[in-house]
Amino acid sequence: MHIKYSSKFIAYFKISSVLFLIVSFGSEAAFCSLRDPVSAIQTLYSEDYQFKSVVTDVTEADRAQLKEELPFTIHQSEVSKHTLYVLFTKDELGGFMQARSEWAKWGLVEIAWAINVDRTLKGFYFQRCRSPQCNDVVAENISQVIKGKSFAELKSLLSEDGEQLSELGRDSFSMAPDLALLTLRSALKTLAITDISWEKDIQNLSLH
Amino acid sequence: MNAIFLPITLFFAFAILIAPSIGLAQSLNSPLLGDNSRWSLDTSARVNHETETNSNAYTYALGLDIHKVFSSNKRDIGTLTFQPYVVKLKNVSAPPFFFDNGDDTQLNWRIANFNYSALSQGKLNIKIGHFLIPFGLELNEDTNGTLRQFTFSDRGIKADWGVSINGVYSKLEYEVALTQGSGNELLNTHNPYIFSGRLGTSSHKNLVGGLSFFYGDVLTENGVIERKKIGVDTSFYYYQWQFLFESSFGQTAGNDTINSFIEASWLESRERFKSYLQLGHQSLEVDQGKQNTTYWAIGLSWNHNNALELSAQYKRYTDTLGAEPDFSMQVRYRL
Repeated sequence: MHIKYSSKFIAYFKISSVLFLIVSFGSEAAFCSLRDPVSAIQTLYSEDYQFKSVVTDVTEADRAQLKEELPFTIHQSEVSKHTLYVLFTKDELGGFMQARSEWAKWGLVEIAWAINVDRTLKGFYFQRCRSPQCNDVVAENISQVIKGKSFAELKSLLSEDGEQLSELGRDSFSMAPDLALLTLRSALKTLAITDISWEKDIQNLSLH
Repeated sequence: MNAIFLPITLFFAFAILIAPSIGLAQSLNSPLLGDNSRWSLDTSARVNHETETNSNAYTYALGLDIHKVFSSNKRDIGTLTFQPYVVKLKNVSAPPFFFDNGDDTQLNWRIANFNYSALSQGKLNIKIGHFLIPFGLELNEDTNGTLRQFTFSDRGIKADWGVSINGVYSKLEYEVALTQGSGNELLNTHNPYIFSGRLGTSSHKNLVGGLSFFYGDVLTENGVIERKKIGVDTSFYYYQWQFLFESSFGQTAGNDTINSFIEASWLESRERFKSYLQLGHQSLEVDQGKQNTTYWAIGLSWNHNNALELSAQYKRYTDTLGAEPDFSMQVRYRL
């Protein structure tokens, strides 16, 4: 049996479908593609460790709060669920690990950040960087500058508007300044959002 | 045009109707699934133009995607990934064998497993459930539910029920699995099985290599087929370009076979638009001599906020078997 649909009915469904499709619910890629940064943890934490995932909602309010601490903030697409990996060494809190994404001119760069308990940087690891510039030599060069630095110390390497390296930053990074700038911005966002979005979780961990 | 558009439109109209229940489910998210959980709904409608019969075949899918990490006070215990899908076919001339016919509806399992990771923090995990067969390029690229596929058809199976050990070291990744050989079917009477595995270099690097093996009896429409394969795969990334290569040799039902696959793809810098070109070749020794099958495929996809994806693929065989060209389009939406 053939059902005859009126042209108005078809037009209504076409319009409603298009509207439905355009509205974004801010979803993620399929979750089966999510992977723990196990390789990064093994590389950046050499001693015996164990880790625990803490998933939280990074909210629009968190994004706005970060903007008060930095001249830039996370992308709106990052307002979603994110994981902080909490590291324990011999049952003591040993640090944190978080992966963050930054846009480069060739696409997304994903960096896994190792953070000390006092919120200085322990190190980083390119989890995804499709430029040949993201090699071990350049990563080590950037790491030597930012390792052990706090949020304030890292911020001093950046210009006022956050769009370029400061004079101190230019003197400090001897290789790949564009990649160093991208990494530095990622470091600052990571440290700030860790304290903003996981504040209660970290407080609870400290109490135990 | 309406003949193609109307069924897809009605499918998404149905999705609009269930949208209020999505809001309810989200509000129940925490109590139902607890901490460290995420979930979404995945809908897709695919139209495939069958050149031989000059007709359109439709595939509609509505599925759940749940991801939950179970943890104790100071360590992760394991991860649950649960993706059941209801798949409705319409006018499909050659449906997968677990469908009764080309207009059937079945529960389809994409990924549904628990990966126990408390033994040594990622170096030795035990996975149980339905998961991707660890062979070749499949493990490092998520192609579930997409038009873009690699070489699983050569082995006759993409994902299977079973158990695996898997792990990640700083420079190596591995997975070895013993599975049922029955794909989507949890219960069967033909006693198939597959023993498979892959050892690869770190998947986050721009140059990745892997060695794989596949041995077993795979369930098909007409009973089981014995397949033995050894494979090698390589992925190389250069800015927005990705190059993939996989080659395997072995036997299918006792006949020697060699399979090769290459793909070049380009991803726009904001990662919304992707295009790819694939070339595949299979050589099979049969009683009458060597049977060669070669194909090329070109595909495009565009996504909006990782939620809406529109994709199209044209695939053409250049062999002597006379397979007709295949043109597919898909709309996919994750809520």
